[in-house]
Amino acid sequence: MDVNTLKEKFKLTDEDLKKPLPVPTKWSKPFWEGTKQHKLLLKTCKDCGHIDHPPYLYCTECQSDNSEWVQASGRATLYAFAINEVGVPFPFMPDLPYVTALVDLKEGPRMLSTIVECDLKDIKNGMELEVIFDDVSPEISLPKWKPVKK
Amino acid sequence: MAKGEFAIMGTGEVPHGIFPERSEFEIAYTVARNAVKDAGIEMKDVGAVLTAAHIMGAEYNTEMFFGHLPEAIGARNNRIYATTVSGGGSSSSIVKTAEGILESGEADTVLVVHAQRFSQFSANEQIKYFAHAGSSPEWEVPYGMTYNGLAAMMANAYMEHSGTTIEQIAAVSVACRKWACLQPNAMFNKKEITIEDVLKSKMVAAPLTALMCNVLCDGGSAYVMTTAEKARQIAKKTGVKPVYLLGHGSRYSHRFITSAVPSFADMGTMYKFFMPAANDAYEQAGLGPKDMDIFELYGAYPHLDLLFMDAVGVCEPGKSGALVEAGETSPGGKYPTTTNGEALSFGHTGTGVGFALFVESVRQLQGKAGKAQVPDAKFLIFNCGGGAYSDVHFTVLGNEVP
Repeated sequence: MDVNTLKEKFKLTDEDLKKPLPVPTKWSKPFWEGTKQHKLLLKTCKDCGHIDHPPYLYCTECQSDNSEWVQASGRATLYAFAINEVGVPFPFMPDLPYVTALVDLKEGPRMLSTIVECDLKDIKNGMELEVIFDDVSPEISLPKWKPVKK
Repeated sequence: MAKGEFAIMGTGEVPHGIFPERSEFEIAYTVARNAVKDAGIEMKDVGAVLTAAHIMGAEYNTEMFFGHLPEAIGARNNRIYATTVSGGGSSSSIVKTAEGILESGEADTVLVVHAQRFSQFSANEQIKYFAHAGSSPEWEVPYGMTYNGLAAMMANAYMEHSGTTIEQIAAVSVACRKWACLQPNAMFNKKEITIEDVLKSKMVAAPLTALMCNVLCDGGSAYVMTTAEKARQIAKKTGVKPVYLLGHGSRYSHRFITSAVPSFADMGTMYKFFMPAANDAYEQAGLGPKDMDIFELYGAYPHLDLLFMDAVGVCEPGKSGALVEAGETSPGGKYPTTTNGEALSFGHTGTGVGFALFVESVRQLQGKAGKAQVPDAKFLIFNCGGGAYSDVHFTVLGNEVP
């Protein structure tokens, strides 16, 4: 459904169609500062080496405050996906059908994201992916994933 | 809880479906009175009232937080009230709250009440709420996540890694509908469906079709819980059959699906995460899968029901799809499973899916399940869980203490 039909059908304002964006926390701010510069950063514990994604206030493995943000390779494999067809919040209706995906980073963490630059019929679990950054607002760039060209 | 230390005596329920004119307060009052009457006691015998949270319902929750219900139902001798919430796992955590109160000796009769009226909210409000219930506002919702999307990703991985087919997943929806057709209070109890109907229904989040997704509705249920000693006194006086809590087992994995513990993260073998909890419940009860007359499983989506079947020993893990497809879990089958049709056909009432299934479990063991009655049912295993499949809770119930 295109935006104008949607607006008319459900009597929506531009505000109703605004996509929800991440609101960075004190401990996630460096991640979003990183994506703004098109870098994928992972919160890594300097004491035990554990990577927390999503990041939290302190290391969830050893409770240490001693951490650093390490740039990830930007490579991943697709673990699982869904193709959303109906029943999504209004701001996402113009995007239908779209993909939500579980992406396994080379560094270990699993992320929820979407697959871009790929025909829906070509999406397969296990496919190799590389990160791209979608500058959705002046403050927020969302990491998304596209197939690695062989 | 020691095995057989506590018992459920009576249950109450209202029809599930879309009833905008019936307020959540009316539901709560109605199921409370029904349960007390069914238990063979009087409202003045109730010493504690526990409520479940109303999803999205600020006014009802605030009222319950400040002690509305005991006054409104005339529980004049009530001493304690509380609301217990842990998403879809609430029906288990509330049992444990009740056990604590009974254990304290300050009350010997606890009334547990759930009520929900989703029909006061628009479809989009509900979709938006449930996107947040299953997904992170910061890390997942910005990508257009929904609850159906979450379940669909799990179905995609489960099929790939377990060899389960989409027809077998559809067969769970068919079996749930068969059971619901035997339930006067079920939302969808008019017409059975076929595997073809399920597969041909509208695609919602591939691979899940509309008939593989649960439907939010209005409804509620209640029950009376007491000590085994008091239960036997009531039974002697009234003939009401006590249903004993025989064993519990719980596990917690994560808040967000991306942070699942390793045994859960491999979605073909998630049963490895659920199974130890089921085994704890069996072990405490001193019983095993072969002793169970019914498997009351709640996954809210058909492939999750299969995963729970994989975990409770109905069959070898990964073979549950074939079992359902062969009709073995349907009415008249060898392994009666989910005898009210749960969220898929009985209706999804927020935290109430587990309450409705728990109440159905008690009815089965009291011989009060009407057309859905499994003949001579003595023992069963029940489960619930919530969030992004964050946790799982199993309870073994029986109408005798083995």
